[in-house]
Amino acid sequence: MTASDHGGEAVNGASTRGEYLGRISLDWWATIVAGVVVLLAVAGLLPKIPW
Amino acid sequence: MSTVVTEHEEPADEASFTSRNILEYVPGVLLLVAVGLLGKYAQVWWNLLAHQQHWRVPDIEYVLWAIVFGLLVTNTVGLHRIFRAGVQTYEFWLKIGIVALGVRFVLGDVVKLGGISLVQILVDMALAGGIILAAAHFFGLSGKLGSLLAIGTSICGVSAIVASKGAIRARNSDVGYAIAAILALGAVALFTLPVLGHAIGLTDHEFGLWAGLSVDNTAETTATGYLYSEQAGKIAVLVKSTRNALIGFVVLGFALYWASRGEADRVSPGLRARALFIWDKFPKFVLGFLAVSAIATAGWLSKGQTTNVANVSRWAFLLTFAGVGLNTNVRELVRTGWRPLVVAVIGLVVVAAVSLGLVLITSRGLHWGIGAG
Repeated sequence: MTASDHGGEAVNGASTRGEYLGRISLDWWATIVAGVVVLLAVAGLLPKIPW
Repeated sequence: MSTVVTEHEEPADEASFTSRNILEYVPGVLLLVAVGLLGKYAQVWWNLLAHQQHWRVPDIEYVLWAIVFGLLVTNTVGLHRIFRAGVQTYEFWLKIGIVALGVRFVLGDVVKLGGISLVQILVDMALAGGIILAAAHFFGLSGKLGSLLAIGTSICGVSAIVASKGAIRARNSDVGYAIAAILALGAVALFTLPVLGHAIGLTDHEFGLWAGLSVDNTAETTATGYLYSEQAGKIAVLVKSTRNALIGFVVLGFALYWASRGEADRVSPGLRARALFIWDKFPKFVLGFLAVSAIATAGWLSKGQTTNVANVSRWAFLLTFAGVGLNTNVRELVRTGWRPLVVAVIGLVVVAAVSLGLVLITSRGLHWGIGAG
């Protein structure tokens, strides 16, 4: 196996991961991001957010 | 012969992510932040100036400032293409804001208000949907454009229209017309409903219900509610989310109708296939909102952390309001043509009148109601 083969695998892996992430809908992304914020808050790790 | 119609066409709001290159979003998101911050501080500066000059002027909410600044940018100098990808993420921020807003609701109140608004939504949908279909027929619009306008006006705006596109095999031009008409009406509702609400003397709760029931697009619904007051904004978001949750049922109904006429793909028979169809169209962020509300109800958050999460929601909405202004191009809306707009205006007036009547009957006559924390 050559270095370029490894490179090809890495590229394929990255593109598969990219495709997988691309299939996650906007609704789920928004829920994931907000969910992380809430989990940080539950753990008491969310810094003070001013308004 | 049967074909499953659970196509995975992207809903309109999926246009929020238009590029795989994260760097392409940076300029537009920075513009959202800049316009949002300008709007937020414009409210402070305006009040300060009025106080110093002893003017008696109304307090203009940051929501309105952010939208107006966004509108000014897009409709004067225009939006350079390097900003487009980032500016179109405003629906993403909206949904983050809605999920985080769950922290301000007790789950029992969500169920109660959701139940109350569900009854109102069903009555509203039946009356308004029927009148819009009749108006579309009267003005000679195609049956499918009429269906799209009915779906968009009586249910939930642009997302519903695009979710229906594949299911009823609508033409792209009809979809474009319907979306432009709904967006134009959203802009009209944004500036007229709060004024009417104050003139009628609606409470925050009543106005929130009214905005949630009658404004079509979720971003504009949120902005309209928050323009009235923060409490009205919260109620509007909750009612609109309930409306959004019905999207799958309505699209399925129209898909079955057009399939029965041989003008759309047949929907697979059987409960499982139809349940999958409805799940495919269901706005998943509503589940996030409920989960966050459950966490808050369980008492897992301290008072300080609850405020922090609520402030995350406020910042996310601020970017949304900036995005509403930046994404509204008046010239493009005018180019739509008058007929779909007239039908959509009839839809807005009917939906607004019917839902105002329902709100007044249920809140003042039947004394149904619940507040947000």
